[in-house]
Amino acid sequence: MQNRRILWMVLFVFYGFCLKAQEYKSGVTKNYFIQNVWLTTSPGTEAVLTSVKVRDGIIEEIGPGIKPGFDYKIIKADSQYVYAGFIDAMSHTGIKKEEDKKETPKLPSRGLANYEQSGITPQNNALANIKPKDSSISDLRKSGFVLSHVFPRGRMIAGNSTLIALNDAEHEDKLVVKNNVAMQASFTPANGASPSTVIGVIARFKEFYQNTGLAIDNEARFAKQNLGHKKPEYVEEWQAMAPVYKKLMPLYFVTPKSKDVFRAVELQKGMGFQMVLADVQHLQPAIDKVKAGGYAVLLSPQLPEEQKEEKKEKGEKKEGQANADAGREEAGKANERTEEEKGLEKRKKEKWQEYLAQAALLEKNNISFAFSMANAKPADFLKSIRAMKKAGLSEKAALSALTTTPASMLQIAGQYGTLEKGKSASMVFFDKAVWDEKAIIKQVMVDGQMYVNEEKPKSEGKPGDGLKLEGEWSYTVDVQGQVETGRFKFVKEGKGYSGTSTSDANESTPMEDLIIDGNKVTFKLMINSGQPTPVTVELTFTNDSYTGNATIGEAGSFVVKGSKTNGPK
Amino acid sequence: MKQIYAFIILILTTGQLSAQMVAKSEAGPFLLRNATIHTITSGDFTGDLYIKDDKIVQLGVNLRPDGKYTTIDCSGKHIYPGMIDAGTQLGLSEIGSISVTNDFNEVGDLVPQMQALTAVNPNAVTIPVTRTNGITTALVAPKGGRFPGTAAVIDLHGYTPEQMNAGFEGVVMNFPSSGRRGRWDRRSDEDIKKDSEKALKKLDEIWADAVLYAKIDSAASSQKTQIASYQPEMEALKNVVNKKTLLLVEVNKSSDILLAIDWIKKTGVKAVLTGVSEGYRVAPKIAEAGLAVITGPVLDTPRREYDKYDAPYTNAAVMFKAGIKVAIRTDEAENVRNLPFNAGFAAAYGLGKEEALRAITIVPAEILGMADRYGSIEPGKVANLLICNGDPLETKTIIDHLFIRGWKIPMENRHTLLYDEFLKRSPGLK
Amino acid sequence: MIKAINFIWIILLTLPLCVAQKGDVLIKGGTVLTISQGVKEKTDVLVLNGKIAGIGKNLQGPIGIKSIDATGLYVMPGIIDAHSHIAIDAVNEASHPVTAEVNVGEAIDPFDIAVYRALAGGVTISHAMHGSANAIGGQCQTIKHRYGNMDPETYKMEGAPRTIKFALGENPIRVHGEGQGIVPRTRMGVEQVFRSAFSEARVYRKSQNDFKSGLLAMAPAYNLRMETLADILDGKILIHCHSYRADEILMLMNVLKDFGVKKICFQHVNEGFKVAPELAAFGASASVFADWWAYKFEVYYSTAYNAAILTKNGVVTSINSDSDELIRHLYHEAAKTQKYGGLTDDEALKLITLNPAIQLGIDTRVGSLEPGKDGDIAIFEGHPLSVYAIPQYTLVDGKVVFDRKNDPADMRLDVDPDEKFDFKFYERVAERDKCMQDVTETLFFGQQYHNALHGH
Repeated sequence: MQNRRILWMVLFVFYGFCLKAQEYKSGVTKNYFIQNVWLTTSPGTEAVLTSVKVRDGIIEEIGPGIKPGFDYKIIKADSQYVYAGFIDAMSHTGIKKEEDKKETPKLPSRGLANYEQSGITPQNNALANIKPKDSSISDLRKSGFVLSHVFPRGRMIAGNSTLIALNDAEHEDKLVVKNNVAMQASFTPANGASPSTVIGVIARFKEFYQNTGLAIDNEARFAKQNLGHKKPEYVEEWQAMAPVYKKLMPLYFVTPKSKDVFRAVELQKGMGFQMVLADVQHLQPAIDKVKAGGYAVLLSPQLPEEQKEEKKEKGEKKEGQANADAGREEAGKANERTEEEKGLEKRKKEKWQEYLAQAALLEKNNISFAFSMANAKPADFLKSIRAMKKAGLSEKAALSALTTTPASMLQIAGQYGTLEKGKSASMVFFDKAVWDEKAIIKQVMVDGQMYVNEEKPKSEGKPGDGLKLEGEWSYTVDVQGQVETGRFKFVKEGKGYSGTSTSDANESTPMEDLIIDGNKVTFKLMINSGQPTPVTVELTFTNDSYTGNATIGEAGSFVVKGSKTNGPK
Repeated sequence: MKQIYAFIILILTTGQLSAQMVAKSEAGPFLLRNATIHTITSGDFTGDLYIKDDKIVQLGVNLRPDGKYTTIDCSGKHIYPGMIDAGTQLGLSEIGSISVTNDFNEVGDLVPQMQALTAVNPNAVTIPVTRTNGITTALVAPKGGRFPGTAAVIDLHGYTPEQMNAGFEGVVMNFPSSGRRGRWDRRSDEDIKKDSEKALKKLDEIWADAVLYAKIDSAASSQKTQIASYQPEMEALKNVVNKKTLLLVEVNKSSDILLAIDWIKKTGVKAVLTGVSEGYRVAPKIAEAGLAVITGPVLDTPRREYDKYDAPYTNAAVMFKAGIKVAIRTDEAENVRNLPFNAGFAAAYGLGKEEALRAITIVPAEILGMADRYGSIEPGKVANLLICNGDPLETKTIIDHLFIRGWKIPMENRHTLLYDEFLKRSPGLK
Repeated sequence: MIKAINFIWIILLTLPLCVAQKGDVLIKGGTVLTISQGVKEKTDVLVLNGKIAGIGKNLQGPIGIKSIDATGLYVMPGIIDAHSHIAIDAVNEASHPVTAEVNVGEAIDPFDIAVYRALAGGVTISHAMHGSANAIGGQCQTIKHRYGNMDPETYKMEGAPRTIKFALGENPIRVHGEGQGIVPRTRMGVEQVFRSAFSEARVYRKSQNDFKSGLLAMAPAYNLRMETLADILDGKILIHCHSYRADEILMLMNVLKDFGVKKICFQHVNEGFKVAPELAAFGASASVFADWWAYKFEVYYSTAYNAAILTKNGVVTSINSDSDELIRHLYHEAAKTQKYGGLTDDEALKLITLNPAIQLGIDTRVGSLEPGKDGDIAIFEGHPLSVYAIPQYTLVDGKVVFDRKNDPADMRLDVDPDEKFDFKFYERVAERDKCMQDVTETLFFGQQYHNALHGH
């Protein structure tokens, strides 16, 4: 009886102690011993099974035979795959996007708009705008990134950047790796002022750049303390741009398409600044000029949508819509799949392939490239890189673009980018090798701080035609005579389902590994009564009721029954 | 003596002309002698043509009509029927950018009661500019919303709309479009789809009302009572519902054309498709539905980036070869005068000269139900014709004389007058 | 369609070659309309390395040279459009009445399908112009229609003189006076915009020179707008001025006289016929529409005989398109001058070849078929001035860039990998004034005005 009681408590009372998303576990020690992982030191090297000692954020030792000291927390990451943490070479991480102002400001009636109105703000620095609690920081980290090179949001000349570590911190200063790293420019026209077009932007850029140079010269002349030398005009923007003019600071030019690339190259050739082509989606036509100019490239991993759209649309329509739609669909079908349309689709696919193959093209041309997450969804980015790999990018180049290349660009290759003794303990842990389509990130360590990725409740498969799983179902479980009740709730999420189990005492826990196969549903509940205990539930549904069993740890298997209480029947 | 007499007459006449300043049209009868006459409907021949009042009275060789008439020697010249542009805003618009001079787009989506004829300005500067290029007749149509109004056909001579009225009425309908409204249209694909679906639904609602109204109206009139709630827009649609009035259905995108065909089938209205810039994509379907088409302009850019560059040039030919009755229009206001060139391009790109000429003469007359009076040179038809020195579609061909409803029209307009005044300006530089 | 794909791929694959390579070709047995030396029946034209190497009977090229049988066809110089807005991503920097600093050549769009369509109308060169929103607009770019190249730089015609757009009348008045409440709101104001801009540029140039000669110790600020204006005053940039009314045309000639500027081509110039003797005396040229009129008040008193009057008064005149549509049949537009004013074949053809070349300062390179000139050639079936003429081949630098017999439908160079092609249909909207493109979209009118203007 006592035994049963404990089991019962195990099962349904101690909910809520489950893992929470990205919860940083502040430990009593900053030293970690990571046991038995497949570790890849640097791009192009074989993974080896080894252990890693981390001491105060730095890799202390790597080796298969090493032992932890007494003050080490042991991390059992058995058979996980570890790589150097990824480096995002350009983004606005931590900086909220400003809503575009709806009312266009009135232009000054005479003369040009001032620099700020024109979108020339080189004095803006990213750090001042970073919000350390912004979810974009943890989102990027969840996808395996440890560093992000952050630029302020802006227009023609947006401002200069801050390199941050993707840690949880109370104040943005705590994140800084280095500040004033690079300047960002783009062909974005001003909002409601001059320049209003790309030609206006280029003209204004040229003039501004030229005047920056003149200001430097005038300052030098003034410094000589000769007679007749009026004090030079002090303009904040010229001062802020001076490092770029002096080639002390690279200019990251945002150039999504080949036309932008060509335009930026022309500007660069005329003015000689040190240029990185940033957030590039498509530069294939410009590849020769990019190579000749020796520019580094930051590719955007945000690829065009795969060719699923139309198929999906048609699928949805089958479910029945308005008559008008049916008519239009009918009309569409009449000339559907004509030779012309097939040709158009083919070209579209070829173009899509061209986008995918860009990374491989850069590799082939020995052009140094990394990735910019400025306009990419972190959750999709690995999928994109894997697609690029399929299109010809080598594993070594792919990994370099995520680690060593951006580390070199940012001049931190001594500290980041590879996993070696003395380098930052910034690494990403996968359950399988990174290029495995199914590999997922289990945890990420940033400068010695460990962040565990929660496994999302997920489901596989879908219910059979008769089963309307969505909604609430009662449950009754008989654990050796002790009857307890509660409810299971299934929610449709996108294509799959998620679920929770809630006891009558209103304590709930999410279902894990939810698998639906016809009328059979299985899931796991992780419960904790001092030590975590898995409960595996297998249910078989018939119309509005089900029967099944729950296996509690090693204690045994018990009957579960229930029926639909709420939701579609 | 005779010579001196002739000389005096000459001086007098010249004096009279210069004193008169304004050229006026002259009344007949006229005998046009020794011309190559292109009848359109029954071949070409060299001979004479006799015009009396507003009609072509006689065709033949060495005609000697009774009574007085003016003879015009047409040796070496050609006579063609006046051209008909079956889709314009002629006389409804004076200056494009000045909205108060534009009278073709009334407020409202459902305003079929608006009459184009009412707003035709008989003294519009554009009218003489147009007719001197051989266009004698034009369909003038309102533009804008779903049912922007009722179109009319006018002859390009007269001092009042009534004098110009050629006796045609047709209701214009802009079929809901799922295309973009030009390059400024930044709606998302989804929004375009939603908008056009909504518009189709709305159209069906309007039509259901129109059908109901017509039914109530005919019931009321058979009981010789007045319909209770008089609605001018439904009144205007009534005769379309009853298949008495032609519905001019403006539609261009291929998938919209197919929907329009279905809609026409469904409602059973008497209709013609206008615009039809993507007719070539669905030509067999249009032919199968037995619908006629008024297409144009031919001098137009392709509507999609991936279209073949000459799609607008070849469109008429593709449709014609699929068995569709095709007329060509300009859809212009001030440059309706380019109608022959639109036909010329269609001719070059597959339609052929003969059929291209038919597409701006007899075919539009047939489509508009006016072929008994217009579109060819036949005795009894309205005397709308031109005398020229060559192929009327060819760019450099000069039109020597023009007749509209039997009136001999002066070959001048603002453009020619400015030419006459400024070719050799006086004073010149000094 | 498969053909289409192949063709595109060929273009893509040969891309790096296209950039530098110029073509060799022998065009055999055509009726050659040389423009400068009359019509030559059954004559060959030999092009080597992109240049015309010979015109005559029985010419021989190197072994293996590409040859085109032009028997029964008409061979003429590539058509030149002195006023267009194709192949550029920005037309109007409408943010100020003076924007001399901008240059549309910096925003060339090599993917614009309008370029291919122009080639299919025999047009090998166009003058990509800034719009007419500003009294002094931006600099323009003479482009060669080297379609298939994706590098914008390859479109620029090497050595073509710099040109700039000016504009008079309604457009700058509407945009700045009515739109913003600043000068100019009248044609009086337009004049003063030029006078003050030029005066300012003189002062600017003086201070720059003073610094260079050591009179000034510190470098004065660099001003690209003033630099450009000063270059105009120095005669380094040709002016092409959007204009309609006779009075404003005279006004600008007076202003230019006062500032010592000699070269100007008036664009549109619908009332040019009224002041033809003055234009001829000044040495100004005119680039006109064949028959566009009445789309706004300042073109209400127009005549289609404009080109004829100007030509007969000794003004170098061209016919332009200012339109994606008209540019496809400029040969037909030129033919209208035979109907309206009885120009000869040679006079009419000059309007779209040699005369626009003169206006763009490139007549030593193109505009007629002569040995030494560029191999820019249009080949027609039917005389190009006939309404039935059909362009068959168009060559730029001796390379065939349009061949009617090998012309797949989809000639786009760039494809949006996300596009849904059923939604790429554009209804026809009256396109009257491409010169005003971008203006309504930008700051001045805001979305509401934009909607009102475009009827939605």
